[in-house]
Amino acid sequence: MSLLTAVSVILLFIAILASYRLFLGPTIYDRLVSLNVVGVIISIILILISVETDLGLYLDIALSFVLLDFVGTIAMVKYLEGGEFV
Amino acid sequence: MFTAALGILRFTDIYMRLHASGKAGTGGTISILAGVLIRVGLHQISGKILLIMIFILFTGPIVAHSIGRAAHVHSGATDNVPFHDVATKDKEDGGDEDVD
Repeated sequence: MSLLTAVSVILLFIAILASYRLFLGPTIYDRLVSLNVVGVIISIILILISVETDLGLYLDIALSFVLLDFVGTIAMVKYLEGGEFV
Repeated sequence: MFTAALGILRFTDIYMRLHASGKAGTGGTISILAGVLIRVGLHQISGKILLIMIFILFTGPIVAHSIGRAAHVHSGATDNVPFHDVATKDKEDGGDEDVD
């Protein structure tokens, strides 16, 4: 097992640990924070897979995953906050 | 990243969880990606890794700020009262601690 695979497995366990708040969060904002962190961790795992297997395809997937994570979180926050939708 | 996950898991308030994920999460991500970038060296894919790194560096604080602002608005505070006064007033009233 190489170093990058070991780091990927550790990050997977961290993502499972952080997704505890995603399922059992008291408020919706706890779920949003947890969702953002889990999305970032998954994109890091995708980058590590891309470097390990030397496939550039996973890097594009990671880039679009980060973009959609950011846009989705901002959209949900704007929806929950109410008021005018900028 | 482990401290970010532990903070999200164990802290008792939404603002404390934002504190954990906003700094430890972003800093850990930047550190891991910088290590990958150094390991890869000058390669075809290092530009994209640098792009993802800069993007996460910019959008992490934006997301943390907007979630915190939405939680503050949702908690019923008016615009004239700063956050510090609301927090101390909650504490004087006995607070609404999140016993979990």
